[in-house]
Amino acid sequence: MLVAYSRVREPRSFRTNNRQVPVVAMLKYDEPKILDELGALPNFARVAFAAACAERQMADYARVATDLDTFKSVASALDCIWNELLGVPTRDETLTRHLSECMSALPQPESPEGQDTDAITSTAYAIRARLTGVIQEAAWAARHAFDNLYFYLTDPIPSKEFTPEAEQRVLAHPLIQAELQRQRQDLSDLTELVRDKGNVISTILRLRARANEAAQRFTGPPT
Amino acid sequence: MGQADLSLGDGALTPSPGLAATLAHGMDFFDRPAGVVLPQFASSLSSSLGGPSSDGNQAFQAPSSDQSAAAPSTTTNSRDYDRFSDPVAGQALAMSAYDGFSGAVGNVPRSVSAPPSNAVAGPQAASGPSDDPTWESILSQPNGDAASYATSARALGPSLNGFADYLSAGADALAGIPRDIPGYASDLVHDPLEFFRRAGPTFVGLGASIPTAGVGTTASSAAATDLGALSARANEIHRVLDSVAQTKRTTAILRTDLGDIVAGGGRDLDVGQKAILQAGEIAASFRDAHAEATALAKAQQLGAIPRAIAVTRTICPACAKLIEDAGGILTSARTAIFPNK
Repeated sequence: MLVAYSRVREPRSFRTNNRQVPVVAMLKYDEPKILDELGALPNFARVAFAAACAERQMADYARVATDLDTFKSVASALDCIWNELLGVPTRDETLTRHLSECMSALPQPESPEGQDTDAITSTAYAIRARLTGVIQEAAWAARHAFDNLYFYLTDPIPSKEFTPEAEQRVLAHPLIQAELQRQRQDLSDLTELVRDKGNVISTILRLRARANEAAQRFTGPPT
Repeated sequence: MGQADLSLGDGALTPSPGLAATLAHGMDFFDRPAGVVLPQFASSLSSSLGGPSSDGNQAFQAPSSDQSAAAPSTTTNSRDYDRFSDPVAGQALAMSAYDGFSGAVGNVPRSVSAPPSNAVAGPQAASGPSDDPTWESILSQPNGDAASYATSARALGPSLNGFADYLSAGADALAGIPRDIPGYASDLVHDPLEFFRRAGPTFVGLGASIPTAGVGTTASSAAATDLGALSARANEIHRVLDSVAQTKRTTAILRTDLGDIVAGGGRDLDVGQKAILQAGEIAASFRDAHAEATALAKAQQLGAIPRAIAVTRTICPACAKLIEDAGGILTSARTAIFPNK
């Protein structure tokens, strides 16, 4: 069983619409444990994990993107990673070029960062994880998926009202909980793949399809 | 989503039926001996990419051209997956700043003397992907003065004697000072506060954190104590950010009579940064504002009296004016004191 996400309170349920709804234990973003679990995986699995984190943010990026060319270049970079995971030969130079395009798409220092920033950064980290094999790079892709939602949910809260209690409500928000659950599921699937020496292509395809589907409701129901 | 312009894709897939069957039956993907040539699994891909897969996955289009423009072969052998090997696996965990993400403050290195260049470079610098010119340039862009800062900070002792030594020895630094050094030296002896008033803007760009302990003309400057330590703490909190965010955001600490107000620019502090705040450190938030403005706004909100501020990036002109309007005096590119408060 994965332990990358610690439970911070016991499960309980509440009643709504004459129905008892169970509340699953709240998940908490716990990067050291994610690093531990990623460390037990081969690098292609870490890259797949990072790519899935990026993929889930792409639909929202598409919604907020103001520069279609930039979006296309980031999406192309992510496709390149997925394609390589599926076995398409890819040279490091190609990935380095994609990385460069992603980084140049990021806002200048101290400029406001939008949701696009996290999607681009996660994509960059997926590429970086592939190029360097550094475990932290893949974890950072996951962190930006989490950050994306954290800032999406905290952005409307006036500074004066952003109390620790308000932050706890944000961290317990279903959108964040769903993302943490998805990261947990991805890690679980990849761990199982490695442990059982399963079908890589099938697992990668499933991961991407699931990320694509989740992307449509990353920040809420599809519009 | 994530579907790219496939004209940019570079994978020319040549159907080869051999691997498809192997994969479908759970090929031992991990233990195959090095050098064993596997047939390209294009057929499995083309069936998977060309339409819904058997397990309900969405359709993918096969790349129309070689994913790597100069991909030498349409066949894949075991070495093709060497690219996913772990050349530096394990090194990532060596950067312990991230150990504290879940709140374990004790795990965060308190390297007071760590130069800000570390904050910029992040774990990658230690982990060794330095052969990547793209990343290298990214990491070095926004803080080009980090090296000089580090040099200056090391040269700068904890006392004004050290400062004087630094001035006399640092020829490069002196070359950057456009005004009259002897005059400053006189002020330094007879009226230290006036020295900082006059020299403050000049030393912006010198990059050194000037310790105020011992200046002592006002109670507040004494309280400002060691700006170097304040800067070190700001850098420590900044390093919790991922390496890209470190190059894009700023972290500031404003020392006040009520405690140290910690602020992040733009998006404010992230969850990991808040997790390592200690007793007496107060998180501030002011979305899309610079870190300095965020910290000062929080001080105003709390009715706190500012003593000193340290930030992880060169203070911009607008923030410098904000600090000066609040009674502050810049003592370096990244620090200021509030002597009249």
